[in-house]
Amino acid sequence: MPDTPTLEISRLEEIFEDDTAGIAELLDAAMQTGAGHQAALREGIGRGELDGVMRAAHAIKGSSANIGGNEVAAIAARIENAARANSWEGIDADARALDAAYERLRTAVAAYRASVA
Amino acid sequence: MSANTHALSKILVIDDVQTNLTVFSKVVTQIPETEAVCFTSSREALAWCAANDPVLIIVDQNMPELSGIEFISELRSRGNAATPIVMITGTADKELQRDALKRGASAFLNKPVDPVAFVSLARNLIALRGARFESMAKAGAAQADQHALNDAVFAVERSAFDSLVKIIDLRDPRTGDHCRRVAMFAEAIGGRMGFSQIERSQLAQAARIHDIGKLSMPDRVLYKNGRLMGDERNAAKKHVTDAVEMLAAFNTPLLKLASEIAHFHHERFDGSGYPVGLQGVAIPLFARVVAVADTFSALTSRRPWRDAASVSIAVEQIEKEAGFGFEPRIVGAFRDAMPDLLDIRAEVPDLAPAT
Repeated sequence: MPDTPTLEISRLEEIFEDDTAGIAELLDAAMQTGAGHQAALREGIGRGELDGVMRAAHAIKGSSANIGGNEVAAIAARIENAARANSWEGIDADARALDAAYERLRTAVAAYRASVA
Repeated sequence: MSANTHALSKILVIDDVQTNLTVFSKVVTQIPETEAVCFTSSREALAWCAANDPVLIIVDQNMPELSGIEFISELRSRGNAATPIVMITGTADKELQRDALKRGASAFLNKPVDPVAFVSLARNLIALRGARFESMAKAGAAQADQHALNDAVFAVERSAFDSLVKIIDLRDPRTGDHCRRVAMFAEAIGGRMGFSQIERSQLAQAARIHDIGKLSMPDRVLYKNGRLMGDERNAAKKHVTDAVEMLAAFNTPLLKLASEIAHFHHERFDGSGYPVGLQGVAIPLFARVVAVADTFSALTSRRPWRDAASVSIAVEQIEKEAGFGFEPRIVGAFRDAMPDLLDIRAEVPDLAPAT
C-alpha cells in the first residue's frame, strides 16, 4: 500500500457538505480530464519532449490534488520536477508508478460512488 | 462560463482545468452575497473584465493562453488597480510570488486550496476593497463639499465687491472711475513685475475699492471745487483709516486684502507717508503697487484747481520719486507697462470737466 492516501475525500466533503452527488460528479470529471493528461504525458515521453512532459505532469498534479488524489499528485510532482530540471532520470519509472496509482484512484473513486449511491 | 444575472457580487475565477473551477464555484457559495463567474480561458476572462467589475479575482498561474501573472499585468495596465487578485500557484515559488506581487497580485494560495483559508482570505479582501471604495467616496464627497463651500464664499465675496463698487460710483462717480483706472493700472504694473495671473486678478479686484474710505468724507470735502486746505486735508487723509473700519466686518481673503490696500496705499517708500509711516517693504506689496498706480491716475486727471498733467510729466514726476515715494523696481515696472497704461487711459478716460 502507498504511504500517501490514494483518495482523501475529506476536503471535498468540507466544501460540498452533503452534496455527495456533486462530489461524485466532480470525481468523474476529474478522472476523465486525468485520462487526457495521462495520454499527453505518455505522448511527451514517447517523443522525448521534456516540455510536454512537464506541462502534462503539472496538469495531473493540480487536477488530482484538487479532488484529493494525493498519491497521483505526489508522483506527478516528481515527474514535473525532473522535467523542470531538464532531467529524464526516474521519469519512466514514475510514469509507470503513475499509471498504477491512477488505477488505484479509479478504483477508489468507484468505491466512493458505490458508497454514496 | 457559468454566470447568473441577478445582483450578487461577482467573484471571477480563472483556471484552465474545469474540475478546479467546479470546486471553486462550490467554495464561493460560502461567501455571502457573491457568485462565481468562471472562465477556462484567461483571454475571455480579460475581455469580460472590460465590462464587469468583480469584487475579487482568483487566477491560476499555469494556463496555456495568458499565464496568471500575464493576466494580472494586462488587467492592471488597463487601469484596474482596485480589484483584489488572488493567484493560485502549484508550488510556493518565492520568485514567482515576488514577481506577481510587483505586477499587482494581492495574495497567493497554493493548490489544493484549503476552503477555510480561501473563504477567510476572500472575505477579508472583499471587505478591504469595500472599505477602500467607501473611503474614496467619502473623500470625494468631502472634496465636493469643500469646493461648493469655496464657490459659495467666492460668490458672496464677488457680490460684496460689486455692491461696494456700486456704492462708490453712486456717491461720487469720479472716485468710482478713478478706482476703476487705478485697479487696471495696478494689474498692468503687476504683470510687468511677474505677478501670476491669480495675483494680478486679486490685485485688480482688491484695488477697485482702495478709496472706499472716501464714502465717509463730508460733502464739502469730497465735492469741493478747489484745493483742500488745513482741516479739509486732514479730513481727506482719514479715508484710509475709515476704509479699515468699513471693511473690518468682512473676513474673506480678498476683502482683507482690499482693506490692507485701502489702509496703506498712501504710505511712502521712505517712510514719510500716512497713516502709519511704514517704510520700504514693511508696506504691503500690493499697497506699494497701488500707490504708483494711484499717483499716475491722480496726476493725469483734471482737478478743479489744475489741468491734468501730461503723461510725460506724470512719468517724470513718478520716476523722480523712485526710492522716495515709491519702490524703484515698481517704478521700473510702471515704465515698462506704459503702453498698457495708455490703452487703459483711453478705455477709462478722466471725464472731469475742464477748469
